[in-house]
Parts: sequence; C-alpha cells; structure tokens
Amino acid sequence: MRAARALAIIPTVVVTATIVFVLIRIIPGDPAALMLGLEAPPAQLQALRHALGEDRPVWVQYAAWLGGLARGQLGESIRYHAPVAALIAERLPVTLSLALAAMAVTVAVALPLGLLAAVRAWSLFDLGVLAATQAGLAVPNFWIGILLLLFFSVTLGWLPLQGYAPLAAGAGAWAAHLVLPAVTLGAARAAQLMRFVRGAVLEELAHDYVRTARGKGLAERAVLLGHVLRNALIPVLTIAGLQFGYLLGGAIVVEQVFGLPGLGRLVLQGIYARDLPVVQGAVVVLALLVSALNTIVDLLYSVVDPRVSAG
Amino acid sequence: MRSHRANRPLAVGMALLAVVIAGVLYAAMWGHGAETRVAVEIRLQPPTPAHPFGTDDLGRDLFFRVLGAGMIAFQVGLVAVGIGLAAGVTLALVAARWRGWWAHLLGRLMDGLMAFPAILLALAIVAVLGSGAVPAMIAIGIVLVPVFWRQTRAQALSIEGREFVTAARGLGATEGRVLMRHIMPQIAPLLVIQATTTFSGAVLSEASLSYLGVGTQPPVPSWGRMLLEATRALAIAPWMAVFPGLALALTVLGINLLGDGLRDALDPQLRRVAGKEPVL
Repeated sequence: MRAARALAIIPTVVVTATIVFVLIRIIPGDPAALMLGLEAPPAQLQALRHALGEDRPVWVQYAAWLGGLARGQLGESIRYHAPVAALIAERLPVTLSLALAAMAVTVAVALPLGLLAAVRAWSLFDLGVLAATQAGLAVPNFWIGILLLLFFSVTLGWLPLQGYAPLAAGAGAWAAHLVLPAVTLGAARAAQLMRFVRGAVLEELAHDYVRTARGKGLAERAVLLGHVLRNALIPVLTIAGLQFGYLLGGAIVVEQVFGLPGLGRLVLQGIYARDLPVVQGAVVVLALLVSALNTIVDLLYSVVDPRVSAG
Repeated sequence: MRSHRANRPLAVGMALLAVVIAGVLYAAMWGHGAETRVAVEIRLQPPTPAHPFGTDDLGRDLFFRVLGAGMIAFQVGLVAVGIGLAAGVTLALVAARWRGWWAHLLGRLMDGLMAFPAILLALAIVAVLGSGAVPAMIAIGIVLVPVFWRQTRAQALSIEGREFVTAARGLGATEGRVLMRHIMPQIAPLLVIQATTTFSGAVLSEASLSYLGVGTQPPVPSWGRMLLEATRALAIAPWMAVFPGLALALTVLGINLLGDGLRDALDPQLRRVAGKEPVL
C-alpha cells in the first residue's frame, strides 16, 4: 500500500521534467540567440545550437532530457564549463540547511503561540496573534530580511552581513550565518501555520472527548498536550509538510538577500549569465524536491492517522 | 444575518487600498515625472519636509518613486490576474463540459504546475522570455492559471450534473446561454474572492521578481527594485529600505483584508464561525 504510494512519484517526476522541458525549450524564443545576443554571427549561433542539442528534432531532445535525468545527468554549464549536476550538488546543502532551519523557526513559533491563542480565544493575546499573522502574511520576506540586516548586522554589528559558512567550519559560524536567513524565511510560514494551529486546536476543543477528559479530572495541561494537541497535529503536519515546499521556493529570494550560495542563487546566476542548462537543471531539481516532499508528507500522514491508509 | 457595516476586514481593507490608490493617482497627476528626475546634488538625503521619504543615490525623490511604483504594481497585478483568470476559467469550463483523455492530460499538467513553487516557475519563464515588466506579467499570469483552473473545474463539475443545467439543455438552450445564464452566476462569487487573493500574491511576486533584478527594469520605479537598490546603500541610507517595503506591505495587507471581507460577504458557506478561520 505504502510502496504503491511511493511509486506514485514516478508520473509526477515525468510531468515535472516535461513542464521544465516545455518551458525552456518550446516557449517561443531562441535560447541560443538569448545567450549570445541578437547580433551574434550565424555560425556561432549554429555552433551553440548544436552544443545544446537544439538542432535535433524536439522528441529526440525530449527523450535525451528524460534519459539524462534518469541517469542523474543534467548537461553542461555554458558559463562554468562544468557538469550542471556537480554545480547543484555543491549548492544543495546550503539550500537544505536554510530550509530546515527555517522550518525549525516556523514550528517553534507557530505551535506554542497557535495553541496558546486557541486556548485563550478572543482574548487580547489572541487578537494580538491574529494581527501578527495578518502582518506576517502581508510583509514580503525579502523586506523582513533587509530590515533584520539593517538592525542586527549594520547597526548592532552582531551578525555577519553576507555569505555562508559550512558546518565543517564550526557550528558557531554556521549558525551565525544562518540565523537571520532562517528567521526571514520562516516568518511568513510561521504566521500561516500559527493561524492553522489555532483553528485546528479550537476545532478539537469543541469535541466531546475534551469534556470527558476534563470530567474525569485530568489536569488542563494533560488535556491540552495529551489529547487536543495530538489530534490537532494531524492536519497541522500536512500543512507543515506543504510549507516545506514553500520554504524551498522562498529560499530563492532569501538566499539573494543574504548572499547565500544555494540553489536559488544558482538559478539566478544562470538567468543573469543566460546559462540555460544551469537554469533548467536547478529548476527541475528544486521542483522534484518539492514533489518528493509532498509524497513523503502523504506517507507520514498515513502513519500518524491510521484511518487514512484504511480508506 | 450580518450587515456589511459589521464586516471590519472589508472596511479596513478598502480604507487602506483607498489611501494607496489616492497616493498613486496623486503622483500620476501632479508628480510631473518627479519619480525619475535625477538630481545628483541632493543625492542620499534623509527625509525632510521637501522630500518626505528622502532621496536615493541618484537624488530622485523617494516619495514620488514609492507612489509611482504603486502604479506599476497595480498594472502588473491586474494584467497577471487577468491572464490567469481568463486562461484558467476557460480551460476549466471546456474541460468540465467536454471530458476526454485530453482533459485528463490537462489535469495532470495543471497538477504538475501547481506543485512548482510559484517564484521558481515565474523565474523559469522569465529566464526564457527575458527580464522586464511585461515578461513578469506573463510569468505571474501563467503561475496563476492552475489556481483558477482547479477552483473553477471543481465547481463546474458539480454544476454540470445538476438538474437545472440538464433542464436548460433539454429545453434547447445554447452552450453560450447555459454558460452565461446558469453556470457563470454560480461560480462568479468565488472567482471574485479568488481574483482578490491572487491579486495580492501577484503584487508580491512582481516585487520579488523586481528585487531579484528580472522584473521591472530601471528607471521605471518598482517597490522590489527600489529595495534592491536600497541594499546597496544600506549602511549610509537606511531610509531607502523603509518606505518601499512599507508601501508594499500596506498594499498587500489591504488586498488581503479586502479578500477576507469579500469572502465573509459573498460566500455564506465559508462565512467564518467564531474561531474557525478559513485557511488559504
């Protein structure tokens, strides 16, 4: 049953790879001309088209793209003269660190505050949380990042302004470079998740089992953490999983704010340098990561809630 | 029955948007090109009564630049939502009416597009179309197609099977008449809500693309681009980073509140019960 669900990712991979292929290769426009400029000599254009494999029929190109992807080959970067897969492998840990750290921020903020807001529904605290979630959803993440940089790095000088330190260089340096980007990326997601946790907990609180638990004399704390939160976590887990996908998307912008050498920056450098193989490879890897994540969330969902796999 | 007067999100959202739109129109009518006028002798000035938001590294007045950027944000947002709405709704209605293998294939494609992070999809499209406000509009519009497609298709499928549609067809009504008189009135309220919520997303996406340098190009002012320029002078001119972001956040907040308010007003089924927030 679960194996069958895991296999369901194969058509998703094919669809994702096809969309990227269609976007980059078939949208009207000539990648070779885009890369070399409009006044490039025809011979040079022809040579680049040949190097990109664009002088072959579309279906041959498509088969080559899918075949390469299956073997983990994503072509050669025009600018770096290196395999795209290697460039991606170098930058993937940065993006994943950022997304995981941001996820930690999101959950650490959203769970307790959302729970507390629901328990004290319509109190001043709750209204404050609701207002904060509206603000969190309206403020663009790169602006939060710029303001955090302005305060913590420029004014106070506590944290580095730009760049990334790998974990191997020491946990302190790694964390110092990652804390502002993680807060920046996590803020909007925390706002959204908080709103959701609040709603889910309020819904659970209205159920009869809560009255039973209270009636049999359980401490309020045990009712909330042992019963209410456990049930409320089932839908919350789904949303949190989907949010990880958003985090990977948002990482593109946040990496740019803090000068983190991740996958998003690779996409952008590819666009600036008109290095389409790099753009194509990085986009497909990011999109596949998101799809894989959604499938994993689906599987986890059936582990947490046995009713799902029965249906 | 709740009256419109009690709909606080709607009122606050409309008030915020009214302020932003009034400012944008004021700058368009009385700015006389101040948003792009270079005056190097007054570069990087902090806010003063003459320049309430200060000036940038080329001495351009930031007050008029911020308001001028609002015009671009609204234009890009409106066109992008228009593209997404027109294409998404049309495809969904056709796929709901004439089902077949191609409708199934279209469904897979739309699901695949939905799985992409929006900004990633927009960047991939801009990578091919080139940078600028128009490619950004098209890219954001394409990102929105599956959003409208999904909602419209679900509704259209449930309406297609209902008696009044079958009855209308049985009485000889043309496809166009069934669509305009029977189906559209049913799906229009949710489309209005959807258009409002996606509009705020489109404004944010334009700002993101411009911040990344691939959206609106200089010298045309754009909130995202202005924030990009601000990061280059962060230590010496922090005010450059404050006002464009504030204008963007207030605009998005206004549209979001308007969307929440419209949902309360137009969609009785989703009307919020105390504490039960609809989640987007």
